[in-house]
Amino acid sequence: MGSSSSSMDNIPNAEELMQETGFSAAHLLRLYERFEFLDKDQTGELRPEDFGAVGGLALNPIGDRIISAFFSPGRETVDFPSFVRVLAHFRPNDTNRTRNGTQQEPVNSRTRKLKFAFQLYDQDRDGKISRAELLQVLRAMLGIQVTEEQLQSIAERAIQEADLDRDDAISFDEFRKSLEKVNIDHKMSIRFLK
Amino acid sequence: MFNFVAEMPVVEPVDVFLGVARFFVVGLGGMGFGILFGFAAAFTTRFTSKVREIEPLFIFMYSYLAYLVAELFAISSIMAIVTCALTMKYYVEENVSQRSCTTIRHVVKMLGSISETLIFFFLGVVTVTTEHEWNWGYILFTLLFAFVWRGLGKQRAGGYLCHDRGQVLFDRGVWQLFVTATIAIILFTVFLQGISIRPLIELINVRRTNRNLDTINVEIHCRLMEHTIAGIEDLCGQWSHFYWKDKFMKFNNRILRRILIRDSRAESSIVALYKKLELQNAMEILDQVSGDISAAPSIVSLYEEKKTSAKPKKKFMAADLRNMHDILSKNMYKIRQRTVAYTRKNALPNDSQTREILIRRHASIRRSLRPGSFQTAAVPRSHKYFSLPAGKSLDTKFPPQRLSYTDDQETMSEVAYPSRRSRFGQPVRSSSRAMMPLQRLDTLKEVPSVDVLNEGRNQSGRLGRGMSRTNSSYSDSRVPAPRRHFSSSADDDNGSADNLRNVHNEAEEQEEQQPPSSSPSPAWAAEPRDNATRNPLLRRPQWNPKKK
Repeated sequence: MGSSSSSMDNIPNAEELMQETGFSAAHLLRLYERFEFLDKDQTGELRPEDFGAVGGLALNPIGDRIISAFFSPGRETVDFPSFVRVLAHFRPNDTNRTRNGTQQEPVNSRTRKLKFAFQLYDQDRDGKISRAELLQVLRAMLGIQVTEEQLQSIAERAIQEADLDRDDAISFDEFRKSLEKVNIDHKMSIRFLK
Repeated sequence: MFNFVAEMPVVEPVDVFLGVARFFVVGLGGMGFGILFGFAAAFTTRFTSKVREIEPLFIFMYSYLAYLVAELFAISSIMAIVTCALTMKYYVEENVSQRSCTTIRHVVKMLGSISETLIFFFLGVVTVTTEHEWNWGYILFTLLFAFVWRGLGKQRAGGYLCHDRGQVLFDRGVWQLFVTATIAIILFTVFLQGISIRPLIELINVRRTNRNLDTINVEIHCRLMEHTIAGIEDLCGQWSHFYWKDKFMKFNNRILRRILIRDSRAESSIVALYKKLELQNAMEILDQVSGDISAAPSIVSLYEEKKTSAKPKKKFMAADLRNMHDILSKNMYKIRQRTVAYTRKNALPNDSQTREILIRRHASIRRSLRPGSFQTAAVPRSHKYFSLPAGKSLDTKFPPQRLSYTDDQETMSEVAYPSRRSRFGQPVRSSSRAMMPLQRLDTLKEVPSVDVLNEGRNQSGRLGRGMSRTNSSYSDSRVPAPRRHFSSSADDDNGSADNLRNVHNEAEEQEEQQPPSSSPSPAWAAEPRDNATRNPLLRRPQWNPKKK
């Protein structure tokens, strides 16, 4: 990772990426370096094993879900633009950015962040968090501390609290509504990516 | 420190530096001592499960000890005692019984009131009796000075300054001035601070209530987000405070809690919040039901057992569990409510929402009960639940389930859950099918099927009827009560807690076919706890389970 290889020229479509994700050049460079670091066999793309090599992520209860969030459905590898796009979700909100009307919703908007979190639950991408999916996540997070019945109860309660249209699943809108009082920008942002 | 500085003839830069360094040592040392004593207290209370009465004593002793030891080493005793209290609160609260918590809280408030009264009293006396020398310029200057210092956050230093000057100069005339100045400052700051504190509190409260989001959903999602961020940070190779917080929590769970908390299992905040919310719901129901529940003697510790090992799981119906759960909640928490105000500082959740949740759950329960095998007869409105009339029995197809798990809520146990309230059992089953025998407890094994009429017995015997729902079941999600035996109505017995406990312990033997109804198998060893008067059972909660 010498300085010679880490220049903006190595990054394909750097300008576009910066525009799309809002990262500054310095950040993009740093992320590129990190990408190269993770990409052990220098193929230019990351595979699940490369992600798994990151220690903390392997121990994370929802590590596998996070990893799979990087992979677009159907693809087996992650290239740098996809990597950056996913990470762009975690930028803190720019409060003073001027948005012109034609611009798309920025990647790190509250809705997009929530959508990312929602997709961590909703692995089958049907737009709803079913009870089973919720249970899986709860089981992963709570692990051995609780019994199955407790998990069921907690999941039951969670669904009852959030499910407004009584379909026994949590849609994205219900999800968003239940989190309306939470400062998502604070919780789902990584400061140094600003 | 200021004494020291003031007495030195020459102040050199080195001394200034030392002075500053000493300040830090004093402050941080105070915190360190406080934390140390907090840990010591937590460790001590880990072992006091058999001697609950002295727990408050330990708490006060350790706090005062922290203060004294800090004074001994000339470090900040106030910081020590404050840090000690903070550390203790977290760990000790899990260890001590509910009653101890209440006791401590009240004693502290009492001591605080007394101290305040005495201080003001003394202040007044001194103001009135000393000969004052008043010099406008000096006094005002000192006040201004103190004000500025306070603004800079250095009120303690300012206090020291005043105190110190009073000490150093013994010239009578000038000294009087200093005394006057000191008193003026004290009065000034007390009144000013006192008056200005209210708007500040309101401001902070407003912010705080926003932070306290009492839904399980929010908690789950926030936890998910924290994990996500921690993961992404790992991925990016840079860590922010999430990571360190995560690390600390892991460390805390793995090491500290094991050492300092009795029977600790790392309790997730999600589970804790869930329990708390369920408890609040239950209390709300009880509130509505209200009633003529006579105060039951409080139960000291119902649940000491914390079983985590999996017993052979038997199948149960979630709906029934919910049923049990609700019954239990309805029974249990009324008494607890009195103490809740003191112990739980959390705001109750949004009423309408919880009510709605409850209603929905009731509806779902009702729905599930209709075809259900779990037959619940309408509970007679009479108070006492005596044995079932002959021929009746509680039908159940549910093998007892493993009982509760989390123990930690000893609070639940504290709840005056009179075992009598084992309501759950109660719905008297109208069917006359034979019921599954009640869970037999060891102690009562030899007791033959006893006369059902518990009236004779103030024992836990009545409990037998199956449902021993443990109070603590509250903490555990739906506690699968052993529905074994609903032979008699007498659920109103204590036992439940014990039963549950014992049930857990015991192998769940199911003895089939006991002589019907009238033989309430003495299920439980009467825990001496409350063999007292039978409690009139709680009136049936709103929902009426449909009779088959």
